[in-house]
Amino acid sequence: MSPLPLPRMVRYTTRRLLLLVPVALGAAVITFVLLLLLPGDPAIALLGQEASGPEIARFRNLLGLDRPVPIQLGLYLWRMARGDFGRSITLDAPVLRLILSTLPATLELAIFSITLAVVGGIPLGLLAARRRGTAVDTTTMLLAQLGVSMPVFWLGVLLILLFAVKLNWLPSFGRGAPLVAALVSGNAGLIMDSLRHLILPGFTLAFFNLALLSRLTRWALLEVLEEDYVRTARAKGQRERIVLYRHALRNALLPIVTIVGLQFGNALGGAVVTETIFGWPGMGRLVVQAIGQRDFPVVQGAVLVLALLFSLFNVLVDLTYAFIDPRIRYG
Amino acid sequence: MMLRRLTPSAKAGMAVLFVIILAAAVPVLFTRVNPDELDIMARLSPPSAGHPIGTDHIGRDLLSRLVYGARVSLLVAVASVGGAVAIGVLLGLLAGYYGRWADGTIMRLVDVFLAFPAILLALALVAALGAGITSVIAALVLVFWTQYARVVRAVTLAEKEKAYVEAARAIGAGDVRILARHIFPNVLSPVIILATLGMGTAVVAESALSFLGMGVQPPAPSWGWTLAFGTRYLRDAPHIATFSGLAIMATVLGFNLLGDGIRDLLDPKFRPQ
Repeated sequence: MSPLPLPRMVRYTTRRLLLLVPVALGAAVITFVLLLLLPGDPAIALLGQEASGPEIARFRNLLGLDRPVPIQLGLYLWRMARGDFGRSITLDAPVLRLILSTLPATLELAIFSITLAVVGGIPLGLLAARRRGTAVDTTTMLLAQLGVSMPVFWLGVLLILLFAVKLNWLPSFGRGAPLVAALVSGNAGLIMDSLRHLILPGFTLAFFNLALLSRLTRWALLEVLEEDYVRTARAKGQRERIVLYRHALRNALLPIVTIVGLQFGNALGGAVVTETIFGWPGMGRLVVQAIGQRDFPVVQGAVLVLALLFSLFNVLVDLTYAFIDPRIRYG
Repeated sequence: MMLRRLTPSAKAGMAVLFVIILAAAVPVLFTRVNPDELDIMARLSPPSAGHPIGTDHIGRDLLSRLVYGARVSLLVAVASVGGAVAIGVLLGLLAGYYGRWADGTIMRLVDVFLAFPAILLALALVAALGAGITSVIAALVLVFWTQYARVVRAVTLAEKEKAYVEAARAIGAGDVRILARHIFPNVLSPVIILATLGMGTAVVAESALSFLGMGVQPPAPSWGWTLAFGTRYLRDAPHIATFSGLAIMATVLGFNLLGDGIRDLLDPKFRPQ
């Protein structure tokens, strides 16, 4: 498979990246509107009824709430563009610092969960496709159907119940040493501690994607196996293994790669629930805690950063797809 | 006739949904106990003759909480998917049919909404609107409408170029008539498939929001809330989290099986060989 010609690829990449600008602007407007949606005076809604007059006035001035809405929006967008996300009301720290301190934990969990989903989901789908119509196929797809129907938070609770409460094998709360740092240190104890903390939240977050990937792999492979070139390969007398791995799987992998990329973005969103269940100190938990404490600058900043990361991953998926699939010709 | 052509798994999904809809519509068929009735002496008790699947943390009958909770889940699912379909179909038709600035504006709006992971946007919206059933429905409508708009736009773009639309225009049919009488019926199939699968997603989303404390507020019997409280008593009363989660999963599974079955039926690409 030859990739797209370079100039065309550069043009396409630039265009896709430039399209991110209006999306980012729109996403920032939505996070701004969140503040307007708060019932009554946002300053009182954020500070509480017991706040004093001067406190409210200072706060209004701090957030620019004492100005007309279009000016507020302009100031907000300007601050966001400069990376100034304001200060947390409850933690009295810059929002950006809070985001940067929790982002690595979220990325670690998302990457670990996607790895689990790929390592488990693709072979299962392959197995089901190879044994199409047999009990193996039926059982695998039944499990996959259960997997995509199972609420993440319930799975998390069941895993805690079994592996933390009943068997006492794995911790149910918190994060060990950062995995990358543990791996770099080479300390086996640290690595084990890190992995032990990662397993339950990682598997919880991975399960839906694993089930979805196994279904998609089976479907994509069965589609490809119907193609003429597969029939030709078989007619040439090639062994089934070669037909499956060299001819069918390579082409079936294209939609799978796309979905894996999109799932990584979804894992960032899904982390909101998983991190809360397992007390994982990432951005998802930061958002939920900030919502509970009505700390809106944190909510706005964290939601915007997650949305930007999510959009960026989606663009990267598009680019990867265009790069590896020569059938796609973008103008 | 259509029913007979559904796959066995789709029929199984329908059967599960039938039981859940029946529970929501006529709860007394399943339980005679008031879902708010307290039996404080029996709090956290395991399944017994008096309480077939046990009680919750303040002694309310769990079966009754879950049966009445089906109303909340289904109400949110129907209202949010209904609202999303209405907005998505209308905007998708307008974008696909009129093209140019209408298409540009609507699709850029879709891109902006799609920039957010779904549950995160729903959570942020409910946080701003204030927890409660109306806020949850409004937030889910705003999260879900984009997928209908995208699909309907794509179908409309293809359909409006076809000869029958040109013929309708030639005999003097106006835009509204062409959209309503000719193009709209063609967008129904993908919308029905998406909406059926979307109902399952809405049930999970409502439960997740309630689980995080931002959804339907107590004392309303919400499955997500019951599950959230159940997690606090995992050691002493695992039945609360187990059964409430099972109720959510059964409903989602029902919608997924039915949705897959309808897709198999309506989309020839998915029809079993």
